[in-house]
Amino acid sequence: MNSHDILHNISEKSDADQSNLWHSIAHQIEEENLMRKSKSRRLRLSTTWAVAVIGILLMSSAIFGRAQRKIYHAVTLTELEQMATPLDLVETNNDLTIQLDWAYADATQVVVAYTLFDLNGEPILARELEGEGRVDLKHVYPENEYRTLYAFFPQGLVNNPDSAQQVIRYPITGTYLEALNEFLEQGFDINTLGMMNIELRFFYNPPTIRYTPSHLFEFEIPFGISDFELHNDLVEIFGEWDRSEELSDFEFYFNDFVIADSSTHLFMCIRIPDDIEQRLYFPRDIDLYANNRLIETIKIDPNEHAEWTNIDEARVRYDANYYADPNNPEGFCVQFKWYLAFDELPQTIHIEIPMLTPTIDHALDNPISQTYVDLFAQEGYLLEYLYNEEYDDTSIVYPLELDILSASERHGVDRRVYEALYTIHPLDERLTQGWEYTIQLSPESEE
Amino acid sequence: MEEQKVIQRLKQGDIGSLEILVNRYQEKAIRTAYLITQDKALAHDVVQASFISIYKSRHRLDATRPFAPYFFKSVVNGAIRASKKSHKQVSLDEENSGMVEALISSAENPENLLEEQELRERIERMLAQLSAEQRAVIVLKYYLGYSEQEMADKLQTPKGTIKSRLHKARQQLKRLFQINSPLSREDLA
Repeated sequence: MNSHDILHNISEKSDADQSNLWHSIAHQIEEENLMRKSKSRRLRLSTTWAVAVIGILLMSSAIFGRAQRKIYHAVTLTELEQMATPLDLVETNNDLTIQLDWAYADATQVVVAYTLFDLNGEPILARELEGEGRVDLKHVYPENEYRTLYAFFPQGLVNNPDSAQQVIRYPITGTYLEALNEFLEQGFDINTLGMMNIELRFFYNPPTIRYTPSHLFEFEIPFGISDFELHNDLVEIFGEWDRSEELSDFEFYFNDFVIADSSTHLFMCIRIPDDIEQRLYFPRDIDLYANNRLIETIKIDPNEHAEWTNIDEARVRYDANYYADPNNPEGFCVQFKWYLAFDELPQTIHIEIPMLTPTIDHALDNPISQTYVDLFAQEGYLLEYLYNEEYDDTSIVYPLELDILSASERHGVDRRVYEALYTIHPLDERLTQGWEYTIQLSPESEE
Repeated sequence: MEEQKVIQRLKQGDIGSLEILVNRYQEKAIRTAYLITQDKALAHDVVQASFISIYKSRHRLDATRPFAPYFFKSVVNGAIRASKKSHKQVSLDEENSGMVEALISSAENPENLLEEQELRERIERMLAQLSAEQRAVIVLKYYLGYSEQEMADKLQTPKGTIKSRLHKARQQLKRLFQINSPLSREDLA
């Protein structure tokens, strides 16, 4: 044994060989990419705001009722469970036992329900694990090629914080979709996609031990075998809709529109004209029409905070995720997810985006930041700004609301900051011109 | 994929390239950070932050130069900073730091002074008592395999200081073993 081996042995306690940091890293980068546009002075979007930007439910059941003949329906967790494959897999690791209850998968998402039990066989309630867990999911394609879907607890679904059963949703991501398209283009049938590898890691212990992989469970669930069925009754990926639209120098890249049994996804990227201040803009509203009937409006309301932990079923009708544009470091993309299913494929899909709105000012240089600080100080709100020392450009600042603010106060501050944004930075009128797009689904798709 | 290509793609913002690097280096990086911080969670935090920092400053990467030294420098410095913040270290004097070095280097000797397990435990105990900077010296030299010159460059410590400290410690170790270890008495004679 040499000195290296000795130190290597000592370092075994780090559990390095069992660790996988990639998901945490990717998640954080994805968030930060939205917060900071490269080069220019950009301010990081706080997690709170990332959540706030996510769409809220606008459409009431009355709006749904407008359609005389509904060709779609909202897919609830209850329905998902009904469509899911029951599983009764139990595994114990150290003092923790997990029971995999059911799983559902289609081309747009994988949903897994499980229950945890402690040493005494008592179920562990969802809220006891909040924020402390991570679930990895590897979807194995043919030829043993792994693609990883991942989710974190805050993005998952939990029926009820006092419920023992937890439900995690892994929506399809832009990267995953790209891979999926590749495989489909190569002639693979979606039904033949290998097996699903579910790796669940729980950090049930003190929050400080975030990475202790002391409870690791791994399940392999083969598709297409009696154990598990991949839903594929209605899957359409309109990748041919890959085109850009240019209007007043704005470019919209519509990448994919995916319809599956449990949800509908739109992937699009936006490039802002150079002469408009470069920051993260998002569609304030997006209306989805099918066969000329309004199905649902995703309204992104900065005044609304979506609480993603312990989210209830009523709140999961839709959401939106932003991610960096892989083809343009200055651009960004958005994925809209409607958790609705079409009972039959529509002939046309129509998208309306009334306006683009900048996120709350994530990218302020110091003088503007100070303007905010002063403005809010006058109103009795204290905003704290931190300099990010990692960058040479010390003008990058992060606004942090002080911890003393309660949730409701923070909500108010956010709203006021947003209002102030328009005062300090009036919107370029081109951002409010509105955009409309119609896609005629191919005849093959209608079958 | 060739690392040079990976770095080139990373510089272009390809996050998939970062995943390749994470998979390639995370284990050793976590071990390195752990040896310095002596704290598992902190070590993971440090490594995660280092990768994210690399991604943020990817435009500074030089695809023609090896990635590992650049990355591990970030990990070691991050671990030192994190360890200092955690206020866990009990700093001993320089001689004791050298003692650990001497103990570790004794492992290279085929006529090992101590039983493997005993040696490991002793080193572990002594490591825990060092300051983060002192542990970093040990890790750089004996785990990451830097030369004394490279180590001196990275830590901005004169090479002579490192050498003399090591020599002094070895002498002290020899005396210690002569007193406490019948086995080592013969070996060290």
